Amino acid sequence: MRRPGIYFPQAPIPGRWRKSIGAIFTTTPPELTEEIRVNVPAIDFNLQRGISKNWFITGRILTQVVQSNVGVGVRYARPLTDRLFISAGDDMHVWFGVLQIKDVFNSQAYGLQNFPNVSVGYRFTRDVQMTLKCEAILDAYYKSQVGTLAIERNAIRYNGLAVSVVIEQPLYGKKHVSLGLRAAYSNFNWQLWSLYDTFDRNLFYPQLIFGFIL
Amino acid sequence: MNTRYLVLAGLLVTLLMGCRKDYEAPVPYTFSNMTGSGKFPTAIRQAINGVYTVTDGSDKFGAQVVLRWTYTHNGADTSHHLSVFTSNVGYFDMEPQPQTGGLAVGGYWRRLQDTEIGLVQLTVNVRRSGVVSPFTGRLATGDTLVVSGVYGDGDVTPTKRLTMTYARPLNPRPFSILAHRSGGRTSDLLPASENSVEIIKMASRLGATGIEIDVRYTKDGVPILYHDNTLNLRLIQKNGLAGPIEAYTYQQLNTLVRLVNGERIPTLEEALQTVVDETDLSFVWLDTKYIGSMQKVQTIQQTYLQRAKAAGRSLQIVIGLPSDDAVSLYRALPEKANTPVLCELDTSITRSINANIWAPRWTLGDQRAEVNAMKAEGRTVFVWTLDEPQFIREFIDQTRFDGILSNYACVVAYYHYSQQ
Amino acid sequence: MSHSLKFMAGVLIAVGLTLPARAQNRSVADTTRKRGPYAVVLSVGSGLSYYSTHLGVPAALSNEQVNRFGVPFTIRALWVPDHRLRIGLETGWTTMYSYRGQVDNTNSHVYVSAVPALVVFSMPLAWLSGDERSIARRLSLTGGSGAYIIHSRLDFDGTVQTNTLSLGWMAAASYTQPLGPRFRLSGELKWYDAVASENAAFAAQLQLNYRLVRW
Repeated sequence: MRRPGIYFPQAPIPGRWRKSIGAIFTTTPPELTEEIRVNVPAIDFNLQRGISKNWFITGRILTQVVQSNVGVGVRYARPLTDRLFISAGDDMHVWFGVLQIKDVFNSQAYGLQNFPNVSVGYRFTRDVQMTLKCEAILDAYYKSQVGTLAIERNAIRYNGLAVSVVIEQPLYGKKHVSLGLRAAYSNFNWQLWSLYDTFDRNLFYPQLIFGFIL
Repeated sequence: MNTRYLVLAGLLVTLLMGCRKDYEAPVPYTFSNMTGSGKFPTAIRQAINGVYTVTDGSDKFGAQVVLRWTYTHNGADTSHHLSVFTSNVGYFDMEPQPQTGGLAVGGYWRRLQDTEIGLVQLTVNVRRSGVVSPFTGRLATGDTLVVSGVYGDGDVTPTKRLTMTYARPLNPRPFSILAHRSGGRTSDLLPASENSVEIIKMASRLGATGIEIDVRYTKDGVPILYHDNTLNLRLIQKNGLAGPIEAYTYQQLNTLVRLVNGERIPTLEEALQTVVDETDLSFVWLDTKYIGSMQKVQTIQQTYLQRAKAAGRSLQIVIGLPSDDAVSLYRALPEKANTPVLCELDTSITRSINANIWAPRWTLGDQRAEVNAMKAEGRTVFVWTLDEPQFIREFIDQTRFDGILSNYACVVAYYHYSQQ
Repeated sequence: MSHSLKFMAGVLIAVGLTLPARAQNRSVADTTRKRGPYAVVLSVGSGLSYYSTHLGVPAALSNEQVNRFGVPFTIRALWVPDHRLRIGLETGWTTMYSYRGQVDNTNSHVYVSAVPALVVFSMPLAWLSGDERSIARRLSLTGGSGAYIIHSRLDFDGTVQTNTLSLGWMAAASYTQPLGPRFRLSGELKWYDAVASENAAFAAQLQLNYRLVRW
């Protein structure tokens, strides 16, 4: 049995698509934004397609206008019991940002990140399913340019990890939503590339996930 | 089923609650602050200054480092410190250790990007025809200085070997290494808080030749050093007070507010008095974070320029203009003589007020044409606030800026002094 | 920071506005339930709060007296659709703490309170339709995120009153007792956390829930 979901570790029917649109709100760490503590929203679009009974491919687009993140991945999911499901997968993301503001920025940057992930899902009732997802965050490439000067880092580096807890259930009528929290501990966060984080420390990035499953 | 809900909900809450890790870097060394140069008179200190190649310890500190002596005064006494600057954002702060035989220094090392810190003890030796012996002060041709010893992690007694061999003298090209917020940020976990008298005294040991300080007025018009708009937990110890710092009088701040590491918020005069009397810094940038008249700051600027001159100090004090509002405050000054200013806005505004220094943001890149034009007009050009070590190297190697403002003065010092 | 709240609300509204169009699209297998009743429930409540994180009393003060207790006041409007998850807005007012002391025979007094402005999500632990005799069915969990307006007042060498915005979250567990067709009474244990200003309080409240409208 399948219920509408994006995070729940169960493949869509082979050949079928599923998608969601929503927003993800990230709270900025005080080490980087100091006095200004904000919740930065990003538009979050997910697209998944079933390949076989257990395999599916995932796609995701996150955008905040001046910077965006596009990822594709593959996942293997299977049930353990009639309520407990697990999956494992890997996502490859590319992010890029451009800031051209007179007398302030003439900068751009882009990078590659890889996210191996495992998820455990539990279906409480016919309608409510909860997923616990753990991701490792690996930096694969980084290039940053100001004016004509550029630097790059071309090495695979362990950046951090993230744990998400997401509940997927109907909100009203036939509309299902994903509602969850993602706690990321990472050295670098693509959304804050323009702050040029030089701390060699894992900072805490709490995120609120909300999306309508279409 | 209900208990599962509760357990998971509890997981959610605990996930959010104590989640931010508190980082710390306590200094494991207590300075004796011995006064006088002891076994390190001027000639020996100047001989030690230089670029060194690292053999043992290069995995920790890189293959090349810079050694440089600085001093602070305390009344009639002078304390000398030896700093080492590394390419991986590290610095050593060491004092002479007369109790150890030979020319010995000891102190601590710190990597600023994370919290790695430890003790270090070194002696200065000379290698003559392959034989290493303690340096007695005389250098003959063919002699090479070798500074070596041990370092450790945290407060553990140092046992790992560190060997640095003199390669060449420091790059003599004039260049301003400016430390941001009087020395560095509070979040970099330095021994003192940003914009405090304590960190001003440390600034040259961190590699700086000058500092940038943030000036604001209290409610009763006292100029103080404070960066943020509001009293917040980034900068001050929790005491329930919040909101704009301009809402509080000097008395309220001085009695009830302490910076994160326990210091008082200094007045501008206290800060400049410290720079003139106690440090070897040669440049102070007064960043205009206040609203209201600039006259009070101008008066203080001129007072301390005169005091520096009277004390025989080569010290530049400039007023920084970061915004259109600040430029208006400057234009509103009735008398502009002897008021050097630095302009962060574009070149046309810089020309219209005839600022001595132009200082654009580093995120605009090298701006070769504008920099050349400003320099041709006799202006100095700085760039700010650059912390990314790879970009610091690019800016020092590829651009014509006369100085860099950074939170990591030690990296700027490393790349500048080691440049060939 | 109010910009990000407006942005948040804007995104939610924008997404919500596109839904009627999408509802026409073919959707994945869903409940066979017809579109059920929707309601808006208003709650008002009050109780007792206790300031639960570390306090900083300046070292310069002597004879310190600290008060961590307060009386909170909450207003919450929840949209109750035909499934479990409820979304709403919460505001109110909570005293955080106050302390007094003396410096050189001059009295000093500091008072801190908070006004929350939060988006909240609430879920009953069990589906509340039909038989409501089960106690478990009356327990629900609420979580929310948003901002707190932190009010600070200092009396020392003059008076200073300031309001600053601090991002934060809240979590609560409650038990609801039905009183009538439109009224319910609930007891709630709640944790308010204004993270940016490190102010957090634990509150126990009694709330009156009134079903404003149903369609």
